[in-house]
Amino acid sequence: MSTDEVGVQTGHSNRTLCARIRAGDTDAESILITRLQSGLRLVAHRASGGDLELSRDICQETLVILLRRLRTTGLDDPSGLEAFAAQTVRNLIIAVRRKNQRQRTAPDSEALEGVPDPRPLVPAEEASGRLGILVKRLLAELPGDRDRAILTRFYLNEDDKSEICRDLNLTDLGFNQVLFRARNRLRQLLIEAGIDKYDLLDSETGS
Amino acid sequence: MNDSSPRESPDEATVAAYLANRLDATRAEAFEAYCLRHPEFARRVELEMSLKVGLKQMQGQDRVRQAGHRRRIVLAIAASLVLVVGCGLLLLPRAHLGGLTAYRSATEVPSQLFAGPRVSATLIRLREGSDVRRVIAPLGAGVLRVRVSPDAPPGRLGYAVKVALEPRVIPRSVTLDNLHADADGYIELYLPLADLAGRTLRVTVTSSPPMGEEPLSFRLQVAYPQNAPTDAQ
Repeated sequence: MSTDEVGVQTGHSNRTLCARIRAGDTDAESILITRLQSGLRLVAHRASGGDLELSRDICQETLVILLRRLRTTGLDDPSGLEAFAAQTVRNLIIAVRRKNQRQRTAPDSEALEGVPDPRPLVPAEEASGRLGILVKRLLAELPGDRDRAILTRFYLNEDDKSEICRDLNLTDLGFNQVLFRARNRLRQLLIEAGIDKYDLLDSETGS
Repeated sequence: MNDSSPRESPDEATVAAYLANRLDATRAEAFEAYCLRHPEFARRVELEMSLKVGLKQMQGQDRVRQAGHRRRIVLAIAASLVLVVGCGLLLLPRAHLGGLTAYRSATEVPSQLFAGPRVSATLIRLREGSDVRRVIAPLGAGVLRVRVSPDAPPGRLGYAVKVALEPRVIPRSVTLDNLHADADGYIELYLPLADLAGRTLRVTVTSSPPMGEEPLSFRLQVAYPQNAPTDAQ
């Protein structure tokens, strides 16, 4: 896909966007962030081995680096904006890994286990993340066990879609509808919880 | 990267494979390039990823809860066992063992205890002190005759002899007073073997009433041949 095609889809070509940012247009910066944020988080999530927090931090850092670059020197080839951003994410992840390796120490795990933790007990929900709580709410709201089984098997067990449809006597359309509803409801729950409002305001229009 | 980005929207199978990390590096990077150029598509994939991560977190929370529940059950069982054993230890001496029995003379001993072979032990303080005195009672013996040679003068009421079972966490003892040495200088008492077999006793002799002298003390281990320690055979 060419830069022009992207421009058609998003309403702003990379060249125009880069030029506007360099000229100090903050609206253009917002458009850039909205356009790249989800994709960069995906890149960071995979590059970090599934570390959700790290991937979000790296994504933010990448956007900062990108904006600074575009405000000052700009890019030689604006059509490579996405590639530049993705490579920045990967480089930052590599840097974090190197830093962690340098700082790694070998703890005496037996001794550590024997030391009582003076902190008050944290509820399991808080300890293991908000997404888990939201998804639990989502599953509780689903109309039947079948829908819960579909989500669990597809996303958690990573079962094949055709296998799930066969086992649960579902059509392709029925399966897609369950996923579509689940995604939309999760989006609402995320917005209600104040997670990534900026990025998730657009409603899903198709599946 | 531009060239590697697919022109067509990746199909559901590719999205599922990407989320399951089953795409090779080249295909994964091409998929990500497409996401970066198609924000709507990227948002949908990100939502699916959130769903996946959330399900995993939920499963982790359930595991933590189950582990906590299991830990609480184990602790409850352990606490119950401690309680039962503790109560047992407290009640056992009173309910089952009761106090020790000792007789002042052969005439007080029930005749059935004398039906079997006789066994006796004589306790004398040795100059260098003595370790545990071991007595192996013949099978069928019912009573142990203990003779103690006191090495302090008697009190106004003679001597008092306390026999206690060790260990002391279970207090079980008997004290006989108004005991007097025989013509040979020995105090005599009789102990039913059924109470003592396999146990260690502490026999303490004092004047009665005590006159401040150091008590004369012996340790005595009594066993039948079948449960006697090998070094005592």
